Amino acid sequence: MKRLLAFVLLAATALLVAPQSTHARIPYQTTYFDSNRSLWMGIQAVYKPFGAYGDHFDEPVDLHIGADDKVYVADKGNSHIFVMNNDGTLIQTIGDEEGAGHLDSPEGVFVTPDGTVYVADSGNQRIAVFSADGSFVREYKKPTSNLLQSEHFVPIKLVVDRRGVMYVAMNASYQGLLRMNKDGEFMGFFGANKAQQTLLNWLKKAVLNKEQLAKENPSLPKPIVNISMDQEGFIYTATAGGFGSAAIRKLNAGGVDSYKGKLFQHSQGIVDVAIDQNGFLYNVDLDFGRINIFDRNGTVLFAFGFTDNNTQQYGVMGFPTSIGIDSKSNIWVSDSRTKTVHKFVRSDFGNDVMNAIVLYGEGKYADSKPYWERVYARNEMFTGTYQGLGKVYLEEKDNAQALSFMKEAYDTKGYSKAFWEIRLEWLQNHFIIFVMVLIAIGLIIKFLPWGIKKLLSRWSLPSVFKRLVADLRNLGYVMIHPYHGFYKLKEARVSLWSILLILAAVIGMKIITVYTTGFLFYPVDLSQINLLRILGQFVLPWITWIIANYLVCSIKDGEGKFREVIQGSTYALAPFLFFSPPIIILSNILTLDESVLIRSLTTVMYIWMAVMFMVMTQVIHNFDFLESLKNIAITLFAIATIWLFGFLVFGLSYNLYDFFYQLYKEVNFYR
Amino acid sequence: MNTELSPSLVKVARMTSVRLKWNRFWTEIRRDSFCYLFLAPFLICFTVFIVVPVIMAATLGFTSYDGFGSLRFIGFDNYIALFTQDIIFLTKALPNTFLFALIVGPGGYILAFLFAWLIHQLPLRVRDYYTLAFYAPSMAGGVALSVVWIAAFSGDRVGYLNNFLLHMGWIDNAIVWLQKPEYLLKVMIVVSLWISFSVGFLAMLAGLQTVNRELYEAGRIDGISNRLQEVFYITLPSMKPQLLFSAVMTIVTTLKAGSISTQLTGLPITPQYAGHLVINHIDDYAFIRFELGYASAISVVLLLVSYFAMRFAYRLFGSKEEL
Repeated sequence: MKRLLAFVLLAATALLVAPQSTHARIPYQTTYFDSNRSLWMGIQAVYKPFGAYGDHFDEPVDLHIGADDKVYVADKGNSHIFVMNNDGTLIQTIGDEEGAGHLDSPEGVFVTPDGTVYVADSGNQRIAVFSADGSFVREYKKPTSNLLQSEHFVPIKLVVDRRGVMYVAMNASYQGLLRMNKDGEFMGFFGANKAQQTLLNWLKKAVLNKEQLAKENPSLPKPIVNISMDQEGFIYTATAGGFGSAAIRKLNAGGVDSYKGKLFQHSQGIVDVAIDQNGFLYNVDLDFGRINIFDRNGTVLFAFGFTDNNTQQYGVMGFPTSIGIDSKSNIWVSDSRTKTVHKFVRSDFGNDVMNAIVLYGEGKYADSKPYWERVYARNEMFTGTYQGLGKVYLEEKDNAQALSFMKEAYDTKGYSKAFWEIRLEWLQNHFIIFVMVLIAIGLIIKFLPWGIKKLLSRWSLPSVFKRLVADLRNLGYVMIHPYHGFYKLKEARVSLWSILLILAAVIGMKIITVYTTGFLFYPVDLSQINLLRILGQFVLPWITWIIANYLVCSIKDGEGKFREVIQGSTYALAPFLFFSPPIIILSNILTLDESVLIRSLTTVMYIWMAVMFMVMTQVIHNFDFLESLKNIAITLFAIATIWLFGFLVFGLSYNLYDFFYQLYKEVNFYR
Repeated sequence: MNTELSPSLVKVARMTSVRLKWNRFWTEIRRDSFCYLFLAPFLICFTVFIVVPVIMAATLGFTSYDGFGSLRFIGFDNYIALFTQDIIFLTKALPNTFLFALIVGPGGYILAFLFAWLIHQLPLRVRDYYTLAFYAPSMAGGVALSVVWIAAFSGDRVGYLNNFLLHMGWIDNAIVWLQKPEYLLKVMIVVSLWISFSVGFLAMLAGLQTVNRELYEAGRIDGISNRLQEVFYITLPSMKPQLLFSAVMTIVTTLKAGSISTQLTGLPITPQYAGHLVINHIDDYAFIRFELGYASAISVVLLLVSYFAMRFAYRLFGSKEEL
């Protein structure tokens, strides 16, 4: 036995030691954001890791890609600026060993198009300027100004515009960027973040007096963590926190944010932002540990990359500190934990996707078509393709094709447009028939009740059915005359079968609503519908309403019996039965332009139902108006408590069940 | 009315029945000529200023006419084009008018009743002043519009609404309320609600005064316990005619509202057709593009719509005998 065990162990080790077949798999999953459904979905790599450089780095904290695609890296640990070629070979080191050109833990670097290097030399509390060949030119100390007396000048990041004006982010400064001209004169602060104005703050301001307010923590604006500049001279600031709202701001010369405080997904822990020549934004985020790509409107497109504490893999970052993008759309990321600079290269797929998005964004739908088709050939799951090609087909007047593509992309706006065109075409061809059918339907509606009455008078139904029909006709009567109707209901004893029939009809109507409402007004995948859950959400409130209403009103001296409450609550559902068919039919005919019709119908339906429930409570329990309002409020509270209780009981009993189930499995396994 | 018919006349052969009816019609008219004399001023005016224009518009709707050239009869083409080709009408004018009428109609109606009722509770001495104050908006409509509402919704920082919102810190930049498509229709609805205290409001106020006060006392004896029940069971049923009148007036005013958008924005066509109502569409085709035939067709459609809306109002408020 022992020998056997040893043998097995040996075999296992041998198996493990033997070289496995390896894959060139990228160590992270690329995802894209399906904005129509607000879902993140997997996709093949848009960017692939290409290499990691820098045996000489100690703590790279900032990088900047020059106009000639050289990579400038500020190394805080080594107190040098390293300049690399685009293939990662070191070509130059900036920063003298001693003297005026000696750097002390530089944290930011910026290179103007002519090659002048500006360094945020935070240890020396200055900005050092070097010429293109690396020789020290001059320094900028803290500018003299009354406004800056209490301020520490510890520059960490900076950009320089065409006129030589420096925009400096200072360590943990909430005042925004310090603006300094070529001569080192203070020109004011620029582009400060907004302080968080919460409702609570506002309330405090209104209620508290001066002394109390002084004791409160002031709500200061968040400091800017990084700055970038695009080719047109717009300044982009990165600000972490606040769940990504205003995480990236695009500031014009006046300091006004053209994204208007937009919420950027995956940017709560933003570290840096980079802009390529097409206006796409690339950020790297510590909270999510990924690199995100946004379009020029700030809508997130892709996310990729991975961070790991002790990484040994290409493409996996340790502690990313800065991101840059060169003219060939390669992404560079400096990483202070692995002491390297990573390079990511766009894949063919990525090139096609991004080109398609650029052309699509510029409205050149026809030009974007070949790119979309190439993307489509590589990935049939990417909804951007469907949206893009749908737009192309819409442009080409191939409406049927556009319709199916828009549906695939869940783009209701595009779908609505395509559908409108198709409907218009149909109407133009069938207008006369359409009008005649409308007239015919009108006549049928007008004469149908009369015909049915006639039929009924000819063949008298068996008495059971007669009662049923009378009950069903009451449904309509109650809906239009709720007070009188419910009063009559209170006296009458509706048969169980009618109640069940009505309830079944309501549930049937709900199922029909779920499955046949037009795509535009219920854009979901029909195969993904969880019917049980939807019905549960529909039926459970009704049942709890009955229970809660009966309990509350019997305590509050209501007269209603339990049967009457059930009866009344069933009849109160009548508007749903009568309003749903037209809503369903309209939802299949109308486009988003006419959605106001459906919305108002639905609103009227719900208001009507609410009124029915209210009148029911009032009449059945014989309350007066205000009393019934009060009792309805209490009933709603009771419903909430019942649900809370239900959740608690369900959760606890599930835990108990789970415990016994696990125990059973355990015992069963080791028997 | 054929109670006066003598039984012998019924037996007359069919051929002559038309002539016979015509004769009888004339005899009746001659007999009642005195009444018709009294009716004549109204009837003539009604025919000349209402019936004839409507019929002319209806016939013009079947033609293509630019106001200068000659009429060209084109049958139903205008109507077919309206419902199949006119994208602006189908996607903007109709939905906008629907939403506008849906909110301003019932909303203005309920508001008018509410304020009429509230004013009715005031002592007699001050009631008239309040009435005047509330009725003033619809008298001074155009002027007040530019003085009050354009100032309130002005797009710069000093506009009342912008100033308030900026002061409270709820917005960062001034909003151009009257040029932004997403706000224009809402602003129009608010303004129209304010203007909608018109004839309907006065009619309701008058109606409230006609309610028999003894009914309230009787109701109290029968067990009415609060004001709301009083309104519901006594006031509303007793002033049904006034309610009907003001409902009809509301329908007409909401459906023919349209000048508000041009007054607010100062443009004949609102930005992106955001506040484009059917009336604006008619104006557009009639007085900007001079396609009078097409414009008439649209107005005929509008007439039909308001007719059906009025039928609905009669259904709701008219008593059975009047139908």
